[in-house]
Amino acid sequence: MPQTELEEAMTHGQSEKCVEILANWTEAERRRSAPSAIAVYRRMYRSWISDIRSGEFSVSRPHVEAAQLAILGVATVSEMKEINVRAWNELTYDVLRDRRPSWISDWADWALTNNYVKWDIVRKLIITGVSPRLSCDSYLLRMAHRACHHHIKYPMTVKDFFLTNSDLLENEVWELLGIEGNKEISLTSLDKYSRNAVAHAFLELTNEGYLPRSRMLDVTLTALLADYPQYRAGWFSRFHDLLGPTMEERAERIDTYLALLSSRIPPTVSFALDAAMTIDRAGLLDPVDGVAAIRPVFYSRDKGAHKLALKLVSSWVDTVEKGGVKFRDVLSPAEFIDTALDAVVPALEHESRDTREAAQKFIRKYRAIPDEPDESIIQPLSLLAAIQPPTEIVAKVPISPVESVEELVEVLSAVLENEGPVAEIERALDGLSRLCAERPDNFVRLTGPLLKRAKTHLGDLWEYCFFGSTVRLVIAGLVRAWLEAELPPAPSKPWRGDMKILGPERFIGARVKELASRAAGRGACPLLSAPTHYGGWIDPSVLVDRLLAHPKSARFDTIQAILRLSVREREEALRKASELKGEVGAAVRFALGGENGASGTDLALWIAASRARDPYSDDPVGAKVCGASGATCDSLGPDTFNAGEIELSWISSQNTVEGQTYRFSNPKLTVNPPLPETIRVDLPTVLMYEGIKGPGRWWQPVSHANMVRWTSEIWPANRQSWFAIGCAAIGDNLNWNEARWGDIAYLEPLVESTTVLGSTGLTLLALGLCAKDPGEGTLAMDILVNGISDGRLDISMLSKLLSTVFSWPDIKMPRMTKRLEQASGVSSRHANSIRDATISALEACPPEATTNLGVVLELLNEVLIITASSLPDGPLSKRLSNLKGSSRAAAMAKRLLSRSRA
Amino acid sequence: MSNLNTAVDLDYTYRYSGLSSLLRDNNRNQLSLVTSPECGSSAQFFRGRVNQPKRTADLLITIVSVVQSRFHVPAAMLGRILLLADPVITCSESFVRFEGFSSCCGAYARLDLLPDALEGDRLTSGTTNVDINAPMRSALSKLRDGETMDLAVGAEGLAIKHDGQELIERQVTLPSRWLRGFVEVQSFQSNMALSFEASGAEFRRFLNALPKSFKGAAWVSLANGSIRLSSIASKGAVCVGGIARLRVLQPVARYADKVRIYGPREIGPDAGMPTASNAGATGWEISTSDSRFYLVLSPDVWRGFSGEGQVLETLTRKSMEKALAVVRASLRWQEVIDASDVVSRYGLKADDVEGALAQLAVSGLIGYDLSEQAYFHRELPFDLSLVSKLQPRLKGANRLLDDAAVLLDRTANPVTAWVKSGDVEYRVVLDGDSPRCTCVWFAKHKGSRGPCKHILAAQLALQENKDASD
Repeated sequence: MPQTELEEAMTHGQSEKCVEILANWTEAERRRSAPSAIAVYRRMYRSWISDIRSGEFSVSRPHVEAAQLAILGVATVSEMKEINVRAWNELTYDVLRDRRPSWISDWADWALTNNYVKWDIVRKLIITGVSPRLSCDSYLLRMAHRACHHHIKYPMTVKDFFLTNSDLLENEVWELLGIEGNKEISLTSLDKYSRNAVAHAFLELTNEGYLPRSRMLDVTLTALLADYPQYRAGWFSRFHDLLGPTMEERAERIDTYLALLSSRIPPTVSFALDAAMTIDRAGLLDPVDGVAAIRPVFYSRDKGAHKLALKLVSSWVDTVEKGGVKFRDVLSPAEFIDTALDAVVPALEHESRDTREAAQKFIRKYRAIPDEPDESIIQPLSLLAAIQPPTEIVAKVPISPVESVEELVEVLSAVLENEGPVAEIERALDGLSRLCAERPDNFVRLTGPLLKRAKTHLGDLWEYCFFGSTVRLVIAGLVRAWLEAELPPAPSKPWRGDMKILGPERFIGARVKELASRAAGRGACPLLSAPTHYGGWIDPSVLVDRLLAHPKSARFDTIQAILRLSVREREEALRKASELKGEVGAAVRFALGGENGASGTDLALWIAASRARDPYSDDPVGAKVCGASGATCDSLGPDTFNAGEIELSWISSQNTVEGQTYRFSNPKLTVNPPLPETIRVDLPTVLMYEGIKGPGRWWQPVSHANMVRWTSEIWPANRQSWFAIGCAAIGDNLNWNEARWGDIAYLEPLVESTTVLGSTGLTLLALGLCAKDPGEGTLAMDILVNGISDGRLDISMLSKLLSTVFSWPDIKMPRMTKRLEQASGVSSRHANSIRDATISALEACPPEATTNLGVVLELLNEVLIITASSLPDGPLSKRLSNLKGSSRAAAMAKRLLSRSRA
Repeated sequence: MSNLNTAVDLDYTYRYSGLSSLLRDNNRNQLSLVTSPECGSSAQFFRGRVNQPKRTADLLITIVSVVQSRFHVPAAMLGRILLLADPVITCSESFVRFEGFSSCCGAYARLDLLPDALEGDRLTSGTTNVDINAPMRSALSKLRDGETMDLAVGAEGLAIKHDGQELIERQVTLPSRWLRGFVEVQSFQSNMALSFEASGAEFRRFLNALPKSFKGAAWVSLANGSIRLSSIASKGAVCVGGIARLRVLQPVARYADKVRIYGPREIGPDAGMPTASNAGATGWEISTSDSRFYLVLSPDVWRGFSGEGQVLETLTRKSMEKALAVVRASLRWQEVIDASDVVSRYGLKADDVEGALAQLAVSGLIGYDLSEQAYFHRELPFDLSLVSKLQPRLKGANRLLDDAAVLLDRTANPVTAWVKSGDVEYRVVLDGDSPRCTCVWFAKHKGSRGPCKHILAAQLALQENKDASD
């Protein structure tokens, strides 16, 4: 309840009365009232926020504004920062005028930074002398923002704004031009959304003499010297050009232009080069100064800058040679030429062959070196070295089981927090399966932190924990079920509205729920599906031993165990499996290659056995089981008794906005046999495809990266369907339109030499090589390197990969060729493979677009040089000889053929 | 000068008698670096000439770039305030060192100007702040190769006429996170070893090809002189988190004669296959003929050095108190502190001397030179006496001890403790060098980011127990 008159006015939303009450208070009176006023404000604000959320408005905005004014009148700036008090009301000025606090500058900076107060109010405080003049970034940036802010209340243009507030032209405008801005407000961002209103206003004010032109030219160059990030630096170079400096003005600032040549912002370097060239053309640039400043340009990555700089240096050297330069004492002509050549040397390190060649040609010309091809000089440095390919991360070692409850608690805690790696998750499941009945001393004490953490993660999602949305939720549910001996109730409402969890995550959830049910009842026994080796593999003999020891197996556990059977050492296991009884025993024997034939009623079990037996082929005896269950093989979907066939195609579309046409290509997966209407949760091999149901946008961004990794080990013997989902995910985001950091998980298994690439794996690798994201691209390059080293990517596979990419629409070819070029530097074997595969792919299916062909021919040229070989006579050389014109492709073809003739 | 407020952050006032400046007079440049008069009101460190002005200027600018960089903005941190932090300069008998620490607390830079870089009079040894303001930075960037430059470093810069004038003051609040990171990065470096070395040209190629953004850990390795970036581990590779931060070196890479890359000691060239879990900070040293530039990066862009807890165990050790006093007394602005010499001269244990050095580093009294693999004496101009004691985890551990929340079971092998914190008890196993705990911190990091407060509390309790029984 309000205790004072001020609090009464606050709670009744009486802003004017608040101001009136506060007007004559001393500072001591204000501070005495502060604690209870702050308490009232907190209650009002909380009530307002909660009412907003519930859609009712018992405390309205005027009430809050009145309360804000009261706080402004009694609190210190620290207290205001702590409770985040805004100052929305226009009467803010009156309160502060009456109070005149010493901290007003600090408050204004904080309030403007957070946009808690209007700039106009702060400005009024300054004009009337309540506040000293501010030069903090927040004040200046909000000023610029206010100038651009067209509103019915402020209809004036930016120029009018500054003319109306002409005192701002004295200091504030210059201070504004001396700061970088922030991610919210900068001159660049303001102009981007106001059609360059600020730049045009400043230009007009300069032209009309309100802002001194000379100072304006200097201040823009000084800002460029500060090397702001490219986005923000751009405004200053553009504005400087907009001012249109005369030759005289440029010449006066030649030192600064030359200093900008060493900027780390590429467009600033180009801007400075343009200026230097303009001055040079007018004969006002001393070549000695130019040569002393130009060297940093030749370290830059920008090919265009190299080209311009080389042109400039060439012109200087030519002029000097012709005696056209009158030298000061510092350098002789010969020394000048040496300095110029020395400045160009860093260009020989450039990644682009063109740039290196141009620099080499220039140096040869003036150093009088005969023009013989010496490719060692212009080799990119990385290619001179034979790099060892990276070795595998994961050693192929058996997984050691958890041995005690203490260790189990540690492993479960780690898995709960880190959601991986998959081998640890499976260790935890296995440990819990075997040790769930044990209750050592201090059990409750020991597991207390784990249970608390699991409950925190579960929050109000306990009933959904086994849906398979995230690893954390699944494991948290398992922990709670084990330690509290209960299972989650059936969900009272659907999972997060319309969102559905699709795919093999559902199988994982069901499998863990099955385990949770057993753990809740303390039914300890070994987990059949626990991998014995990294990668999700189970030693067949171990599985048979587990089944012999515990014949009563759980359903999902058995299905998972069968799908994880290693393809090696099955004979010995099959012999032992003859002792296994029942339908499970028969299915395991069938999975191991037994000739007993498929017979039984459990469709899911036999499908798993069929896929484990021969992952890539149709199973002719499957029809027998299907018949027994009343289904047909094809109606069950792909990768049941019949192997799935996957095809990736592209759907092209275009969109025209403001006269610009944008083309899009999205991947589309088709699968045969087609997917059934609904997919049973006990058919993980079919669930793998669930994400691709229906045409158009198929992607359901529900899956979590760690869950994706876990699903990769459901069926390690055949990851084609899993890779297909990866193709769709990465292919749909090749240009990184969305930050989908988890998609890289689909590429990870390809690193391992034991992973079969198959056609889908190869497509996924190709997509990775074309991806914009450096993480995906670098990993794809590593896979390429490893694949060539371990023999999975022979020339025919590589050629197939390249042909596939060549046939795709809207691919940024340079991304892939750059990565191939880097991979070819790893060893001569890599270079030879990439060379032969490129030739073969170009013969079979060259890229349609000439630009793309040019890029690929550049790659071919590079690898031919690396391998010291030439283009062989054959279909490709014939085809290249027919290429005419002035395109990049034609030029490269000419070069390749001339090299071949030489 | 400074005081420690209740929020642990340090309210610090930078004071200068004037602003650093670069004056051009008849093609002769005069660089005046004004330092804080902490080492004496008229402390002058150096007067003389810079032999390679353009290069030195660019290296100095890069130190400032690192100081002003915010590779990551942690929630609840006002980076704007930290941008006001100035670099620190140390002048000793033959070296001049500039040190800076990024606003995000994850990158440390140091420029060592070796004896050949400067010619002139080295007047005093000491460490203090140095003003490097924006106009001077702009002026420095205009320097060209071949120009000459005089240098004066001291409280009064070049102009002696500041006597009687008011000092220029700038007050900032330095968060304890930043201060702790600045000092702890020294101990981090002492756990690093040279992983490989490459030519300057190769390093430039590597930098040019570096992606603008690279999420997660990148592996950098060397084979036959070539630096290779990969997303998977290989033998001898170092793991670099937030590798795009290296792009800050681009402007000075052009001066590199050679580059040395340092990784965690256990991932040296002779070690086995590294994994992402034992990845740590990396050090990058650019060598020129007369200077060395170091950039030390935290294990990831969002991980500041202060949260890594590498020195926490050292700070709990009481056995090295004697060594600490002796080592501290032996500090005389040495450019290289020879630990083995201290051991033999004073008859101390090598472990205790190492621990004492680490503790002195955390107190801001010594820095670490990766190239020499040794500490050097310098005293940061901040009052850090309390900061090291206010390590959040250490503070938490002491509070647990005060609350008698630690129950030791010395009969168990290894020693086990139950630590009550909140409404649960955590089980700590003090298993030699690999203690374990059942808390969330340990579950997440497994000791890679230092011990949790429960382990620290158990270790402290064990020490107290031992002391009592002794």
